[in-house]
Amino acid sequence: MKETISKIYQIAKYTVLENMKRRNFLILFLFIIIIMGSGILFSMLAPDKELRVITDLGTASIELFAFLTAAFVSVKMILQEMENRTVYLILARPVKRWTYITGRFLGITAQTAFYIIFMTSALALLLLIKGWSWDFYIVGISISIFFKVLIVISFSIMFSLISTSSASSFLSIFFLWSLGHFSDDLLVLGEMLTEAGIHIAPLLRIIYYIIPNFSILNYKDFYHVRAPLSANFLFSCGYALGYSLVILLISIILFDSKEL
Amino acid sequence: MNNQPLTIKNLSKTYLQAHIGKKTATKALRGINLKLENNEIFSLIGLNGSGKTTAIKLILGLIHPDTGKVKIFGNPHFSSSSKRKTGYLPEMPYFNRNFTPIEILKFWGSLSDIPRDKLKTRIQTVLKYTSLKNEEHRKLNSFSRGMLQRLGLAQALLSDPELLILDEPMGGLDPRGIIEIRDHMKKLKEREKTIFFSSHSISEVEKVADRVAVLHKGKILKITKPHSRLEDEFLTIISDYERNNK
Amino acid sequence: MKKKALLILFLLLTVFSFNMIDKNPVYPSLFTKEFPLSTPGVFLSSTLGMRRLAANIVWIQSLQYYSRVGRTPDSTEVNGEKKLFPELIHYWQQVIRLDPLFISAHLTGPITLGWNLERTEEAIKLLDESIQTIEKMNTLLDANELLESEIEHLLMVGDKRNLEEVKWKLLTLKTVLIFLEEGEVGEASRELESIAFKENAPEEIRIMLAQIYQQEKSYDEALKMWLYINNTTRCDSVKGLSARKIQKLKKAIFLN
Repeated sequence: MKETISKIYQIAKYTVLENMKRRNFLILFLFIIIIMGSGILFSMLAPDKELRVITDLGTASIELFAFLTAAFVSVKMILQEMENRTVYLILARPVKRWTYITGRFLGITAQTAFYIIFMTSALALLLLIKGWSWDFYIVGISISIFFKVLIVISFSIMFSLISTSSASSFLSIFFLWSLGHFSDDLLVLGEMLTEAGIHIAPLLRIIYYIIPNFSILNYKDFYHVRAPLSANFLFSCGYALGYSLVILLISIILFDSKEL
Repeated sequence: MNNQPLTIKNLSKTYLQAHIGKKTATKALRGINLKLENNEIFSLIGLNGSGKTTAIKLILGLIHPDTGKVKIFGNPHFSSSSKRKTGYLPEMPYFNRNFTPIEILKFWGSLSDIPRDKLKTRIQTVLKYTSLKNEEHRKLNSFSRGMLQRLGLAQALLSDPELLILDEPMGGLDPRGIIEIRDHMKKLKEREKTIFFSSHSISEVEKVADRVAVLHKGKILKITKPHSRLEDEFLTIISDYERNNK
Repeated sequence: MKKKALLILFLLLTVFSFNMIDKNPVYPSLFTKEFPLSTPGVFLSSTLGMRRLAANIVWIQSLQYYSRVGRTPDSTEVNGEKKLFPELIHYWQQVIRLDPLFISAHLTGPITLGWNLERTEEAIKLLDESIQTIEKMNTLLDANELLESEIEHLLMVGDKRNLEEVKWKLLTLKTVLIFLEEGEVGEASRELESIAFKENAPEEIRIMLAQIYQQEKSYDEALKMWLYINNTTRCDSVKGLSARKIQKLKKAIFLN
């Protein structure tokens, strides 16, 4: 057991090191440029709502950057390793397949968490300079973004095991991301179609429950009416954690039977 | 029997592919049987597409056989105890070019069940053995093809395995590189290692192998000792097979 | 073993999620018959979960649309009369539909339409929609409180926005506009005073009140209001406007 945990840790650590050496973190500087630019722009366009606009643009950017880097890194990493046969070297050793997938998952998760913390700190600093007084909701927003991206990481790994192309995997992830935000509207769509005589509402309801519901993790859109760490918020995070674990398990089962 | 480094019994593998509604089945291996003796250098030779890499992947548990069994020192090939005794060098190994040899070997060593206190020593030993000691802190993006192959051999030797599996170890190397690999294989044999390698270069196989198996269209046609006319014999075996199986 | 673990986890998740998902603080859907589906705001909000950002973008667009600086204002002819900024109501409707909790927008839109542009009918139409929306959101938020946890009290910083109070502000504003339409300026200013100094009251309410005082020749009250606006505003143009008003009022008070 101890050896297995050690191997998972080593693979996770190697994943983080690999990405650091590839200089993927340079994207964080792009984020800083964007939020500083927005700070200057919005202080001219909307001076009385500057803080609101900077917060919303900043948190949306954090989410988008975190999503893009996590999806891109996860998909590319797994596919590349299977193409260049690095995965053979790992699995030829006394390393179980599930250990490899779990290690990779945890490595990408750790890297994503670091990016989110960095970007949130940069945003908080800009807001403080602009006259904001500290509030914990910003921590709540970061946590909710992290759990959203956790689901994306697990799906990215799963898609990269099914697909042979990084483009199709990435497109599938993006489609799922959109659908996950759109899922509440599926029910409304079902009602509207029922009124029009098309009875697919039950099917839409099943889809609604199956696909990940990102809107309950959209804390950045309702932080001003919901306390961070409320029971509702904690349940949402639990939902995201459980969901990503299930997808990770499916990925492990897929990888177990995959011919390399 | 149980101490034999590698035993393959009736191993078969068919690849199924589906493309636009059409299904094709390619028989990559058809019931091959093989037994390695301790401390020998055994080579599997064949044309491209004969099933050499498939055989190696099956031995290492990277793919699942349709039928048959593989045992390494008496244990199932996919067990941890088998893998601890096996070292593997793939064809044209890929390493992240932003790392140094020390970093790469530390990572591979941590996955090989080598005790932490012995890992540092093992890394230094394999680096010395493969003449990479002076390059241990140099980034791999400045390494030549031959140096990368030596690094590949270093990672295969990290856990001091008793069985080494090398997939086309001389592939893509210049004459000097080929000689280096050949010398390493002989030295390893002197250290009582067993080596199983695949190749399509018969001239190289002649110079180093103790026994040779001819693999063609997934079948082992003959197992023989290498000799000076091995290339002619190889071509004869294949053309006889083709003629009889038209 | 793994399959069993997966099955148990999946079952737990299913039960858990059925319970959870239906309780989430969901915004009203964007896909109603009234909402123009072609706007980029809808795309951003529904597919990327950025409703607040989309609302901010449309709100800035509305400010840009309404801004007269250096541009000929957009206008149209209605029954022989010129109607300035005919699309303004649609912009504000988009803003409050994208983010129903954008409280400032609920208050600023009707003031712009009802007071600045004297289009009381449109202002009241917008207010009615705002009131309905706030009532709906209040019900949704209350329904989604799973339990009043002690954790909330221990760790929370900042209060949950009281939407009941917002609703009363909107109703008050509606009353003000109706009073103004009927010429009852005194009544209108009294109602406005009850909300002008509340937390998060937009500047437009205070500007409106200052202008009403000026109209009623209550120069002292108007001056106090403009001084307050000048001290609290972050907007350069409002600072400039308030400074000019203060100068004028001081002269007027001196002359009187």
